[in-house]
Amino acid sequence: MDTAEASGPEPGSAAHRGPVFALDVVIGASTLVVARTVAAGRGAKQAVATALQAPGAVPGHVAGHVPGRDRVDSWVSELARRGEREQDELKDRVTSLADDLVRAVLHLVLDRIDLTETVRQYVDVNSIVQDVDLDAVIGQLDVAGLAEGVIAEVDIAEIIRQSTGSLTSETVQSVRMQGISGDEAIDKATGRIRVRFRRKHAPTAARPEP
Amino acid sequence: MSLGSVPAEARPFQGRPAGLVTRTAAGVVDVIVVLALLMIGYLAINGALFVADPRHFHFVSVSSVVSRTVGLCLLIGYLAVAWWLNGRTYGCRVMGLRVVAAKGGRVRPLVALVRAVICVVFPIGLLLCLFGRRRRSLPDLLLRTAVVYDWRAQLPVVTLPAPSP
Repeated sequence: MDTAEASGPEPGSAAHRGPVFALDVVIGASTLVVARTVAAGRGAKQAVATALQAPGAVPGHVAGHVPGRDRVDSWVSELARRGEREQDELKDRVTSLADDLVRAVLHLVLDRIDLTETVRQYVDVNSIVQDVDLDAVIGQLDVAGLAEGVIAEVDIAEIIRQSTGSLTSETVQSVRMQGISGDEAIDKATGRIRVRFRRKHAPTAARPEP
Repeated sequence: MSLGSVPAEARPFQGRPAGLVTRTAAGVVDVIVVLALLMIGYLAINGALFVADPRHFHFVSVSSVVSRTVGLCLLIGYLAVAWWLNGRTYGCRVMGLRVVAAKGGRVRPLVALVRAVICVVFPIGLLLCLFGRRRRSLPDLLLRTAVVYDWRAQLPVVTLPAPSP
């Protein structure tokens, strides 16, 4: 007895691998039994053979006769791997089912309530906002970057161009044209004066000396 | 530079020498601009004094000699810099005018400064543009410059028309 306790289970043996391993073995054996029972119930001899030879199934030489200790370990390990695969598969299915269920329930609930009104009725938003450290929030914002982004988005050059271009509006054009007309009018007036001046002085200049 | 931005009715006048009316109107606008600048400067100085010492604040009194001198200097500087940089003051811009050199380009800084001094000290010299088809005022005759109609925003290469016989 003492000798057995001192030596303990051999490393790598089925007893050494712990309760999780044992659970995997149980699950693997259960699924194997279920698979074989279903196959036998159907009376399909070929199906039984396939279940026995399929990857993950117990090897034929293991199942066919009483194994030695190594063969028992191999068999148990095979059952454990099968059980682990079954567990993973089951976890995936349960997780997927839970996701679908939660999503469906959430949609049903949200379709039947006014969430905004519910929040207004049951949540004191003001007290929450008062507890928020706005300075810290603002401190985390890249205000300079935001400003640069806004300035980059706004075409300041185009705005300046338009504002200065407004100077050439119809009013200014009208003033300019009136100025040109005034210049032309003064030119005509001075031209007439010059002509009269020349006519007045031309005979005197052309008069022959006595 | 194209005349695409200039209305069709004004295109025949582009590059032609400007007359007395438009030049006088531009001058009046420039004087108003300088007076506004003087007022703004005066208010700014008083505002600074008020901020510095509100209890003992009182408006700064400026003698007429000082104010006129500052005003004339500001007007000369404003005209010279504007003519040198862009060929046009704000008044010229409003009236669609531009001051150009004899060959049509931008006037040199010294020419712009002398022209501004002559225009401010002896404004009656503008009346000389009434005589002669090239509408040259006294500073134009002395400095070989010209004032032309130019409604375009940028400084173009202006070719002055040859004097008619």
